Amino acid sequence: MKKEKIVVYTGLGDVRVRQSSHPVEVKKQTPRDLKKKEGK
Amino acid sequence: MLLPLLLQIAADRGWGKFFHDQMKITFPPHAEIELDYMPPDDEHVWITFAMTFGNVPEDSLLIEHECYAGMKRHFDPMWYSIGIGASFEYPLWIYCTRETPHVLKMTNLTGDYVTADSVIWMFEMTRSNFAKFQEFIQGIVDFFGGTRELISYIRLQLLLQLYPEIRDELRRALRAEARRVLREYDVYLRGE
Repeated sequence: MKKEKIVVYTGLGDVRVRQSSHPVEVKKQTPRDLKKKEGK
Repeated sequence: MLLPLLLQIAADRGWGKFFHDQMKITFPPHAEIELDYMPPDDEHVWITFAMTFGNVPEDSLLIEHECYAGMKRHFDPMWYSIGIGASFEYPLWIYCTRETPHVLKMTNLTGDYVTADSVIWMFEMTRSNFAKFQEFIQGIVDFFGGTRELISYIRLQLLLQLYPEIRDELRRALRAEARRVLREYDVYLRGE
């Protein structure tokens, strides 16, 4: 069975993953992008 | 929390600015992650002084920060119910750079999906302004924490109580010294 991912949406700051129990996907998005996606 | 007030002084002097950043993490059941959070360039220092979480069910996430040489459980200054209780309170105050990132560890304690919608509150400075800020902080520590100075102050007060007639003489003598110290902080007395 495929292990599900942890998804990290970041804004201005950079993120570096040290360790995790699951595969991680980092998506750089500004808060404005997130709001657009949610249709706000 | 008095520490952000020091940042307000730094902001008034034009050393940096307050801002906040958003980070949203979606956790599968029982997932755990340890990550470094840092500014995107080498030029800046971020002082992260608070982190708040919206819409996280209570006790669903264990959040820890590497702060004061150890992982400390998260204390949310704006939402008391996160965490166990008052014994874990501590001010978040991390000098966050690319070499010394803010280390965060989050664990989903439940068997459900959890989304941590977090806001990181911080103050941004360039490295040269950060050096000035550190000097300023050290000055405050020396002023309030210097035992020798405190004893000198008490002695001075005693002296004035015993010999009130020397007050004017002392004022004249100390005025020059006070003026010199104030000038270092770009503060000038009236009439200068």
